[in-house]
Amino acid sequence: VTDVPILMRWEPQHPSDRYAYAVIDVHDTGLALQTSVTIPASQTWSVHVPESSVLYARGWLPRGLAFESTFDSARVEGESVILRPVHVLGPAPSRMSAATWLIPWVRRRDRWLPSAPCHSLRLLDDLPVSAAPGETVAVQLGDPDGPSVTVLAPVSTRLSSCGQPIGAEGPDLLGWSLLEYLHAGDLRAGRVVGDELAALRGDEQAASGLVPDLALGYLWAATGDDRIHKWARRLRGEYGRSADARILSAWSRLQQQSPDRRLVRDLVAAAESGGPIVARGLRLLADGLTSCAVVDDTPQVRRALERVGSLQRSIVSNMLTTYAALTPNVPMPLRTFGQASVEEEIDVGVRLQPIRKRGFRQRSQQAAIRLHRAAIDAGIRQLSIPLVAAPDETLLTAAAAQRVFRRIGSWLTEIPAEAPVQQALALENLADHVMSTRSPLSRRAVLGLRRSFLDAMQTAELDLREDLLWRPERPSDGVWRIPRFSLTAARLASQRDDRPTSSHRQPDLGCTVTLVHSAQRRVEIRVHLERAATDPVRHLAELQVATYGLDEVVLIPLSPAEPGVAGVIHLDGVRHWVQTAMRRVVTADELTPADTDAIEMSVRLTDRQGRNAWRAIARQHGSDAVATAVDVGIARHGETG
Amino acid sequence: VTTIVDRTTDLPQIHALVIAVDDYPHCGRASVRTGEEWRLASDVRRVTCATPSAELMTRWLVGPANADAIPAALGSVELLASTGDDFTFDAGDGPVAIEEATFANVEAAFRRWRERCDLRPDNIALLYFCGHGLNVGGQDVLLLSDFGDPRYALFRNALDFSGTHQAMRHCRAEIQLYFVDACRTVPESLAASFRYAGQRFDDPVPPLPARDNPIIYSTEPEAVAPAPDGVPTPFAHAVVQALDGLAAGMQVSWEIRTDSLLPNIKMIMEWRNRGNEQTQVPTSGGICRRGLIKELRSPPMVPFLLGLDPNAALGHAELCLSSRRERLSRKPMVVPWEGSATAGSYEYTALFCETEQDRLIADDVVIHPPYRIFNLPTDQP
Repeated sequence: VTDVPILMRWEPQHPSDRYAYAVIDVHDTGLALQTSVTIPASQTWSVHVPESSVLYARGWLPRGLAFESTFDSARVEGESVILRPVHVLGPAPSRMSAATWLIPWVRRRDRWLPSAPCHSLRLLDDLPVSAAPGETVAVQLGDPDGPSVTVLAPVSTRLSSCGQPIGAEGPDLLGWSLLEYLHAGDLRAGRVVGDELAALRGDEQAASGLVPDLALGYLWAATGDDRIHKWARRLRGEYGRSADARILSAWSRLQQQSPDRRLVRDLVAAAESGGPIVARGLRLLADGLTSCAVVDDTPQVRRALERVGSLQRSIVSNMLTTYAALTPNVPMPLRTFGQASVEEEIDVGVRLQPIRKRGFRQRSQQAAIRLHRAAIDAGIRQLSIPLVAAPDETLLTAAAAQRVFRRIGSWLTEIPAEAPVQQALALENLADHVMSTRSPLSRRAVLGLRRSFLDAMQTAELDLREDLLWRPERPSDGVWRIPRFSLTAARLASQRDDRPTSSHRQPDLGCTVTLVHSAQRRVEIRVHLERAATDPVRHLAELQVATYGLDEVVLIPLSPAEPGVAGVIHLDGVRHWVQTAMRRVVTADELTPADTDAIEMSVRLTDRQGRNAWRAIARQHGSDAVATAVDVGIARHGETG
Repeated sequence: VTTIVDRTTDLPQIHALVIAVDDYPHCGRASVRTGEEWRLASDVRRVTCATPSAELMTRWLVGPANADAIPAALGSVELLASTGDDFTFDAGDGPVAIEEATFANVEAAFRRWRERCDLRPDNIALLYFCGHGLNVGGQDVLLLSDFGDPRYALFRNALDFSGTHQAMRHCRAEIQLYFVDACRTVPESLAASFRYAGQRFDDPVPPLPARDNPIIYSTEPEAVAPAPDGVPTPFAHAVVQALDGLAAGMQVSWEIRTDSLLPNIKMIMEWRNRGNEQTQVPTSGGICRRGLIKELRSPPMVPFLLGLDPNAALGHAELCLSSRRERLSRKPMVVPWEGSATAGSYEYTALFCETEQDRLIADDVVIHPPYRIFNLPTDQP
């Protein structure tokens, strides 16, 4: 069968697909694979296919199957085969929340240092960074609540507010696409893109770059391709300072030999240089160091493993190395991440423009610390952007900590009622982080600081209560509004109790609501209704529950058989506070189809005992809508493994 | 007994190690030790999905599909299950009592499994674990049934899966498949204090030759895996369906290769959970060299969901799916047509029986694994 060229094209359905390369598989009618090619978005591409055949083309993007077309190669002469979208299922892209500000940090000696002041992502297109082309920049991203994640990226990357690289061109774009396929675990598509990239790289005229070269290295490492050995040597030669190049080189040599001094040095240096930019590299680095430790467990290797371990504990799923962090030097697995819309990502992308400041390298550590503190001061004094470049544990001396805490405390007590609340929350977040950081301060000093901060917080809370950045729906009149449960205050107030609790009783209702801060970001809500102990009818407490990003009505079943609680509501991902209001107490018979949303949400959030109570209610209740809502809630519960 | 099948020969074979842990007798309320790190033992609860999941996997392994599979037929199966009660399994020679998945039992079974896998480079090693898992300092740790035994250190009876997986690169079997159906959360009480946890069965001593050794995790790092009550997990179903044919692609014949596992398992899970919010995302690790796991003797049966656009027209149309070898049809009904068909190209037609004359709308539809959803455009109301 002779091959003929035909034209093929696909149009992006999603804004983020504008920069993607699709992998197109062309099958014959027996579904045998004839060829696989890569085609960029919105471009007409020539593809060689068998002559005079009915063919079926399927197009893949990193997020999965996306396009298809059936065509006869004899009849499409001169016309483009347009691949049309396929109806597929699939999860929404799970990404961290969009950031509103960023700070680029550069690596100097063994630390990340801020290279520019905090910038709002919405105001910027280009951001100068004191780094040379090819160097890695740690981009600290944050939102009004404070710092969220740090993304390691090569300078010159255009980065979205979700830490995704966007808008590259040529081999760079192909390289990013390859990394995306690798991140998605689609190695078959990755191989097709990799072959294209290798062909380009082999062409002396074609430009190459760090990202496509590393992408090829990671592909060949992931697929056990023998080309990795020669390629890794080449990478090590061309990009000597790149942690990724060192890791790939060491990883390749570990397949062939026992670790020698140079290999160990490469791995340790990769760990000490802040980590690889490609997230896959971190796994290879950890595995490599573990293997070295088996042979020779030196303090150097142990320290490197600790560094890598601290990054891995905080890692956030992303193509680039991304970790939750107070500062790029202090990874901390503290934040939960929601989803962001892709439009938002594209909208606020920023390019990190490399510039090299003369003499920057010669600055002393003391000067670096001054710069760091200046960033802290800027965050607190200017307050134009809700950010604090928080002190990290090694820079936080006792004296510096005293100053920072005093400033936070005094600022919070003096906060005017009309001040933007997100700034206060940013500071609260900072203090929250700082106090859970291992610090060089003595226990007594920390307790002293905690006490003074608690006083400041308690005063400030009064001003903050009605003016939170995110406002839940205000409960209507006549409902019982329970005082806000602040995690920071609760934690500070009960230093010895690892499950701080707050109980509130309403005598008229004969009802007690208890909130328990049961884990780092979890709050349990329990309701005790006194008459439930004697009344044979099953009652339900209807509460409005709000925390940042959530405002729901829930129903808690109260058991007639045992005095007190039948179910518990668990709220996960709570960052600062929970607000609750008791709306009413109803009997199970009073539930109507109008309550189905509340029932579904309640079943999703309750514990096993609560779900059992709901099952009993569903069995006894006459309404199918109620039973269905319970079933849906149970189905959507899960996550106990 | 843990060796429920041993047909080891000098031919290339699949050797499987299947581990299920539902019951943790030293954890939950039975946990007696106190202190920050031991809080983890109190938090570990009994599950009821691990043994059903392992049974599903084992039934498929010992079933007829693998008796004479190409390129490797079933060689042996080691099965361990902790249900909290006696558990028996019948692999064809009558029921046998299955040993508990304690650390010592699992280690002994692992050694036997590894030895068999090591016999030939063209053997296929398969490990399936279902139970509680953690991610401590970036390392995946699997909790065996005697985890939390107060006589020992907390992690004495936990398996350092990441290290063991690395060490298995010394095993000669070129293809090694690992399926980990467990949570990968980071316990907060340990986040700052532990670097590595769990015991490795072997040390990953370099040099470590490259193997085709993909790990398919049921969930992402830092995420939990659903544990339904008393039934196999969605991941277990998806793995079995993928290995049974839905991960196949057509080259010269229908083949399942290592690099097709993850994308197809993801899609099968999406298909099984359609209509609900998709929250569980399987991920992979290890090296994936595109090794041939299985060659199918016939094209796989592929589930489909066919409708019309708009679907309101479904109640007026007789639907038909036809190819040279197969013809399927359905009378007018108001819901989309759900069924399964042999993978291949079909003509999909909708016949509207109208008062004056019948009207036919048709389009070509390719039914390709792992599933097919298609709505035929129509101008009918």
